[in-house]
Amino acid sequence: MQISYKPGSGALYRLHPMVKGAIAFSAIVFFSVNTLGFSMMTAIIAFMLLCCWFSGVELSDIFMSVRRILLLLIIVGLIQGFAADGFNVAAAGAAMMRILGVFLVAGVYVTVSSQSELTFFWESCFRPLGLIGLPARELALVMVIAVRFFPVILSEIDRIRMAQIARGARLDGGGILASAAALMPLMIPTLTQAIIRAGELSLAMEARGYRVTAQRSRYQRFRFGIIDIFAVLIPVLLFALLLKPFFAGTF
Amino acid sequence: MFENLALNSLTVRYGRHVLLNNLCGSFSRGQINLVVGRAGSGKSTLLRVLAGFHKEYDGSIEADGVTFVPSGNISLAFQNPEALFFNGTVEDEVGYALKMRRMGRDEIEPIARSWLQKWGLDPEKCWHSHPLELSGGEKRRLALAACTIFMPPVVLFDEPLAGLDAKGQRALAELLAGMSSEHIVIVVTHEPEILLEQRGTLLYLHSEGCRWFKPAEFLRNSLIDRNFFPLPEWYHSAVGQFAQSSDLPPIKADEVFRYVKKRERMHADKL
Repeated sequence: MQISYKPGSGALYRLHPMVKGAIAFSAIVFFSVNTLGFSMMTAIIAFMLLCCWFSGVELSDIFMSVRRILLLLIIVGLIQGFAADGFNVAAAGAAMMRILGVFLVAGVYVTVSSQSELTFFWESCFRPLGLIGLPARELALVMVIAVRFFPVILSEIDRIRMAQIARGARLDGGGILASAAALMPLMIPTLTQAIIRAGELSLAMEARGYRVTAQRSRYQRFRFGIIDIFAVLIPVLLFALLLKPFFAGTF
Repeated sequence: MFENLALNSLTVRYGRHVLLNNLCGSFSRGQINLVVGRAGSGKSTLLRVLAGFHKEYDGSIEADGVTFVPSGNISLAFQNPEALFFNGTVEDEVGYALKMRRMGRDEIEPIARSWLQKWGLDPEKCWHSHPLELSGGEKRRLALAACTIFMPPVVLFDEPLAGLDAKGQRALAELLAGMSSEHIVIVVTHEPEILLEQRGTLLYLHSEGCRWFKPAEFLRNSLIDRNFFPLPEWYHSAVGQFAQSSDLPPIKADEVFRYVKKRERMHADKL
């Protein structure tokens, strides 16, 4: 099961796309670089999941997808655990929790953000580039299309793999080199399909009136609500926590 | 070569979701075995289970009374199989399955050429072409030929007629019927009208489970009750003219079936 947007009406869904993006970004940075211990990290993740649960976020697909990074978690845990003398369980657990946290935040963000919200966020992020003459809107569009087609291409690769297996290919045995060699034929049809699809998409967009230079209005208007004012405190708090060690002696 | 493929209380799951519940019955050689149902009824899932790609199920699948092993015994042609070409030439594409069975190029060539001919493609013209250079109908034929060249006892087709014109659909339906003498042919389709003409059985999947039908019986049920299965509108109007009254139920299913088939042929010829 792939993680994708699932409509809902909870508090997390109602947030302004910029606030959602800021929370996701700050939380990912927070989980990536903080130095908190295992128990603190577990508590934060548990609190985060509880908030998601209260917001009616469907977490089952995200939990199912954790299986995909299980091997990565174990490897990171082992490396971090053996970094000290003997095996440090707390260090291993903390490292695993950091990766799990990043994964969960990204998963929840994708689950609660619709396509138009993602587009809005990317566009807003790229807007400053317009000041130096770069095509900000088009760059945002490219990003959104790439994100949108990622699962499509993945499922295409899966289909081609199954088509090969159905015709007698053995892709799962023979070591890493053999597996890598078996993956090579996947590259060409996937790339071909991606280029064909890109061509068709551009024609379809133009046929429906898309012009690069045209001024466009928005189908959906996003308003800043009271809930957003409180929610903005989350990224502020997270960045303050991260920056605290640098200013420890100042105040 | 198998005579039949039996499903014994097959219940398919994905996590906590039950996708197919307690399927029983069997598919046989010598006829086209249709699987129909509305979108999301589990048709493609059933094919994936039979092909061995989805292993989360209870119950058993048996071929001639012995537990069925998909590997090497089955071929699955996906929906829009022409989107899944992964070789640079028609030669490589059609011969891939034999190459995987460690056959040499010299052995593969005569088999592949005659197989292409069987599927209505001229090997002289297209042998060195890129698969994507062929026309729509040719691509479909090449894709299906490539899936079946190694003569698996069981062949699964997911929507093989979708996107073809009436003439192409008819030709392909006849090819599939021809294949059924040597393989157990299982076809998943949204448009069973053309294939209903062939001899066979039909497995109808719905939200509560499944039901097996004879084609004429299925057609009759669909004509009487539009909610049962959505047949094309022209089908209903053809039958309306035939019946000239609203008392459809007393009409014999076979008569309706024959009349509708005749109308369909006329329709296709006009096109």
